[in-house]
Amino acid sequence: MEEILRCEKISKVFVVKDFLGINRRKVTALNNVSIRVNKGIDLGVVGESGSGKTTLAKVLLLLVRPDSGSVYYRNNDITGLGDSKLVFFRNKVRIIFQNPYKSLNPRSTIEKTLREAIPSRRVNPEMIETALTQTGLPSDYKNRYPHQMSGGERQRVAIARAIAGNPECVVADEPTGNLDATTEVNILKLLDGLRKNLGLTFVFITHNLKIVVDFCERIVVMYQGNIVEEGSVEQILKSPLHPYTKILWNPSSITSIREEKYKDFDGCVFLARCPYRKKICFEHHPVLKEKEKKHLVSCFLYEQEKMV
Amino acid sequence: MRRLLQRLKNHSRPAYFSLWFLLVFYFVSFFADILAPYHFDQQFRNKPYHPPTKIHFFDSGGNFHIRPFVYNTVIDDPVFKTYKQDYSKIYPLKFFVSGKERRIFFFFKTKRYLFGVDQPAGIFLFGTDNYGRDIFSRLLYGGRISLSISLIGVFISFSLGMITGGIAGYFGGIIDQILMRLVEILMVFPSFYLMLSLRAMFPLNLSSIQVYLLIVMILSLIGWAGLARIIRGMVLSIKEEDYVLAARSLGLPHWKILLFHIFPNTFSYSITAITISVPGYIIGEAALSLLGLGIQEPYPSWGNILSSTIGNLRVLGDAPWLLLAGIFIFVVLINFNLLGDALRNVLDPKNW
Repeated sequence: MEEILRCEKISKVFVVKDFLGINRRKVTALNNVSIRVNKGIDLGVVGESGSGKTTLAKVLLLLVRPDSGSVYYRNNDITGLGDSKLVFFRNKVRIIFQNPYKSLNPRSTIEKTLREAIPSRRVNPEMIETALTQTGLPSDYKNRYPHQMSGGERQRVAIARAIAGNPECVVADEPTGNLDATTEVNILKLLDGLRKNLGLTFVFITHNLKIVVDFCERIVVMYQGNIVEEGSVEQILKSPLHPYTKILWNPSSITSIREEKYKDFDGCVFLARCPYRKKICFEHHPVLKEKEKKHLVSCFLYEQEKMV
Repeated sequence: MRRLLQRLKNHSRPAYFSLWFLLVFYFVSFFADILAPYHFDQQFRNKPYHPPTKIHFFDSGGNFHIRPFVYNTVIDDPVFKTYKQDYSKIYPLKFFVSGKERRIFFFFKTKRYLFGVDQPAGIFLFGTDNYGRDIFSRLLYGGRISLSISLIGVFISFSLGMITGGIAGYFGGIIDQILMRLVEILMVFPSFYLMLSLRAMFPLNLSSIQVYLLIVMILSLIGWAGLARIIRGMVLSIKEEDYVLAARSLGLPHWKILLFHIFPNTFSYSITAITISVPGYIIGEAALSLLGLGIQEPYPSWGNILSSTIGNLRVLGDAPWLLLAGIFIFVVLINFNLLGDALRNVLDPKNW
């Protein structure tokens, strides 16, 4: 299996300072996260808001440097490389941002935006028009400015920008997060078509499990910066292991909301909301372990046998 | 460019008018050698503080002349400098008269000027000063200095401010610290005293060209600090925007990201800041001239024409036309402000 992108033991902590810089609060965006993107196998990353999904996307593209851990592109460690040395990588792995209202430069025409995305030195108008028509936009949109387009059209431009470099892998960070239901369906169809035509591999980051189930082959479930479960779609769908994954499938079944009294314990991240918490959960952080074949979970519920 | 002009016209008629007005001012100053009836240092010793010359169509006999003419004037009261017209001979206004050779910016020579009258009569549209020099001609020549100082000065300080502020904000860290401390050192000095002390570092007896360049440098060195500070703040917030991240994710080099993605989005502020700072340079030059540290006589600038009137109350009362330099400054400032305000809106694609 051909590996494109891999990150190992990524950690990223943001320090939030107050006005005078006296009180510092640490926010763990990513904690020891390792994922692997194989060619042709679309990876879905699922989690609620604040689970570190977007940070993971930015770290994968090295737009945000991790505090520790490494990112590998085709088995080469690229974590320490400066932006100028990453150009080859930037053309092969692209990103689609969540909010199309923010991700396009308001002062550039679409043509200018796309021109920058095409790596070849001589960019002729046909290349820009192809990029536009590939995403289902009329080619005369190239003279428009972002504010002259609707959200869905903007997102198509953002997609056109991502695929213009002929990448192998596209990290899509909630590409339909800001769009209405019908536009969402159209954009997903578009992405699906592009994946087949261009042979792209997607890393699909979303909070919507149903999209992931339709779209991806492997799923990573994140909770508060940690990967709590990883497996194929069937595994996650049919036999979810982690309590959080079960909640995701059935949000109305939330038995306990996050409770204050659990916040001082340095144990499992899911402790405060877990209906099955045990004594060990208060003291130790479970490690991501393979439960079944290629189905990983980090929960003490499934370590019973060994513990006893 | 043409579309921009059209947008400016549609957006704001006054601003469009201002643009043309300023262009005319710059044009007139540039071609002062042809348009001015007299050279800036040509003196009429027998006509100090001469009021603006009356231009006539009817002579003393009541006959109409199709060509306007002037009378020669002779001094009536040598103390209060009043003049009376000598009706014995008319001096018709002539166009493209020839006279002493003048050099237009060292390159071209011209012997013909747009208009003039024969000696000993004089045509002083805006009167004369204490040496009997034509104020109109001096204002045209002076505009050359005042207007170009402001443009060049703004260009230099804008570039310095954008580059320093942009680099400090974009790269951050130690670079930011060093550059901003530098800017702060510059900013803690009151700008007027800084201007004076910078000028004091250089000898007084410099050639006019040297003084000119010196003033441009001084004014632009003072002006850039504040701009750099604000641009840095804007860059700090803009560089976190998704479209800048997107540009980085395409592998664009830093200078392209700064130039095409970050700087254009500071325009809403910087365009206004630039046009509003232009007047500051005209006034700064005027202030230096007022203290005798700017452009030296006999070379005219709007500042030193004005300074020759300030502090002399008799002149203010008896020869108010000397204050026209102040009105010129005022008019240019207003037009720059109007234009700047409109340009900011016109350059924003959201308003198209």
